[in-house]
Amino acid sequence: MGVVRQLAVPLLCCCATAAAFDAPESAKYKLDFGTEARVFPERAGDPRQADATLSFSLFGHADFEWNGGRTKVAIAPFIRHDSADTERSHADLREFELRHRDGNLDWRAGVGKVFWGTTEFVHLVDIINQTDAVESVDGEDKLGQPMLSLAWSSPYGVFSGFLLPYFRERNLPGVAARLRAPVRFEQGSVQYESSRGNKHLDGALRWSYSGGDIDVGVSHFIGTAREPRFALLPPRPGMPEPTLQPIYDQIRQTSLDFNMVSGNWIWKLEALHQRNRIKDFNAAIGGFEYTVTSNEIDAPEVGFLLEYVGDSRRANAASAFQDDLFAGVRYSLNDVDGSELLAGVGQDLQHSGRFVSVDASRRIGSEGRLALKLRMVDSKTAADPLTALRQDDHLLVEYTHYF
Amino acid sequence: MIGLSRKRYVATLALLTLLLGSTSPVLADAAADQGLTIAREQDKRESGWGDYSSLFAMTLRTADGKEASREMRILSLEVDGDGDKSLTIFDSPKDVQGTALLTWAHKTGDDDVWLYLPSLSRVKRIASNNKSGAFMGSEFAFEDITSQEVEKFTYRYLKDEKLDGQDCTVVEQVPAYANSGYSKQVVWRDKAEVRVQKIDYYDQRKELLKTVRQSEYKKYLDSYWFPGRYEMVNHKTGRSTTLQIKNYKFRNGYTARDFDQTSLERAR
Repeated sequence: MGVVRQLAVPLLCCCATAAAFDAPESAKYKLDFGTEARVFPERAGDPRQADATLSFSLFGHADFEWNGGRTKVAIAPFIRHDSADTERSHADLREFELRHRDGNLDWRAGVGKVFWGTTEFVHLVDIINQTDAVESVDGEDKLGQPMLSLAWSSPYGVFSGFLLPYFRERNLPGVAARLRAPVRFEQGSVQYESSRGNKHLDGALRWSYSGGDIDVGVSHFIGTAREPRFALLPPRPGMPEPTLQPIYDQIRQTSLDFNMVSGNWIWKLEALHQRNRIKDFNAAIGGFEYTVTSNEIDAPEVGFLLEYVGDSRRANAASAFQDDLFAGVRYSLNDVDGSELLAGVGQDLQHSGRFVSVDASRRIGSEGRLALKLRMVDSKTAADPLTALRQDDHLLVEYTHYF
Repeated sequence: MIGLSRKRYVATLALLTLLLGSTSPVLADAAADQGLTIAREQDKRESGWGDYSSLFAMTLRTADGKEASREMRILSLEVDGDGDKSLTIFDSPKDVQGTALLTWAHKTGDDDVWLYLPSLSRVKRIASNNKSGAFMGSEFAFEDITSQEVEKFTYRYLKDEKLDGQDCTVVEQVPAYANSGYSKQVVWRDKAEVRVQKIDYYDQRKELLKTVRQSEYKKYLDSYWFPGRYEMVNHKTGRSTTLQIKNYKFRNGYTARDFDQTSLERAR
């Protein structure tokens, strides 16, 4: 924390003084209002779990610029209210960040979001931000991460460093929620390997290069694992049933992300090696995206995806995806309404479990978008984490209006 | 008799060969040279502006008159010896607001394209070979709006013709790159300033597909003519798209640094 203060305070002061006395040269505001309904046709494993949910969300965005765009402030608060799950009713500051560019240096201070990776079905190497696990099962939604970051752009690529002074716990579905393990999650108490708990100073270094036909990144992360392990707590006074308590270990993780374009093909690879107190492991995902070309302006854009993910822990992997093959098709009509379809199937080669996901969306007018999402799981092996979701097939309809 | 007629036949053949087989390529070469000269002249006149920023406003119209709009900011940088670099930031429609596209165009081979998705804070490499696809559902294909390099076509001068009272050259150009939606384009340029006034686009079935008219030219930096308006009509569907370009600002002092992946990420 001391280091953070030493670096962050002068930077914040410099920029804040520069910014505070000048009205921003540019200010942009946007508000996304989402209405979402989910229907689970199968009966839940636990009678307390809801069969249908209605949910509303507000996502605000305010962006300001100074110094000809070199200094920027982004503020993005998010809030959701869910009819069934009190844990899914939550608020988060996705962004509250000052960005400043000084020549080849890019500073970021505050709460922000960083994405690393190239593949589509699983994001193995993406680690800076915690997953907002109550938002969706896809792992695409992230919580804002407090950080101080400096990136230096050189002819040899971008070298960046991150100091992450505060750890965000993964928010986990409540007892009334579907898409959770049969045993309910412990809420409000977690275990940390570090005695500093969520105040442990995490850090990361990254080199990335984009040019010609390739994009490549090599990263090293030291700190609190974003992916928790779980301990089974027995019933106790005040809690008449067992619960799953998250445990956050200290890890060191080195990772590679890579892609290469070659005509219609984009080849993708993500790989990592993680050291932790339980068992060191390697994991990798690789595959391709093939875009079909046509000679017609009216032709839809069609792409095919194939990815394989493997984990050296095999059946002991915390992830449901340890020996899985994914295939998908992306279909975009290129029409005025921006109609899109993404359908995918994942096959567990070890446990013979399977999941299917279909996402379709189109614009409604110029200020709204309607999305349909279908998620289905077929898995019977108790060892497969996906099996917990076998009764949670669902259809989601969401309309988002943009103000 | 037979011998004579054969002799005459051979002589006729020789004459024909001389006329068609050797003279006509010379004519064709002359037309190709003249076409290339005109394209090079346009390129020369359009080189040296350095960098610019601008606002693009597109109006999409269906055959029955329904309209949709798109707005984007475009920053562009000339690169010595290669295609331009450009950054496109979408402001409307609102569901794609903040999405940005970084393009490094190349004189030959596919362009390098990255997409920034604000909802995921993700910079993603995308394939650039879908050149014939519609840009944001408009009548403009990706290949119509990317950097037009001389090397991307082969040329043939067709004729001179008056267009709206202006003396114009008419040049046919055939895409030399893969995956084009066009068998050829016919381009009208005014003789006075070598500015593109009109392009007829022919699809791969060699039928007239679209026509664009470029107008509202203004001279910037005392030497560069840039159009303020493109009117693209699709003859097969009756749909059209008007592209209005506003607020051209030149020589903003951009460098390659303003067109790298970290700039794409912080564009908004």
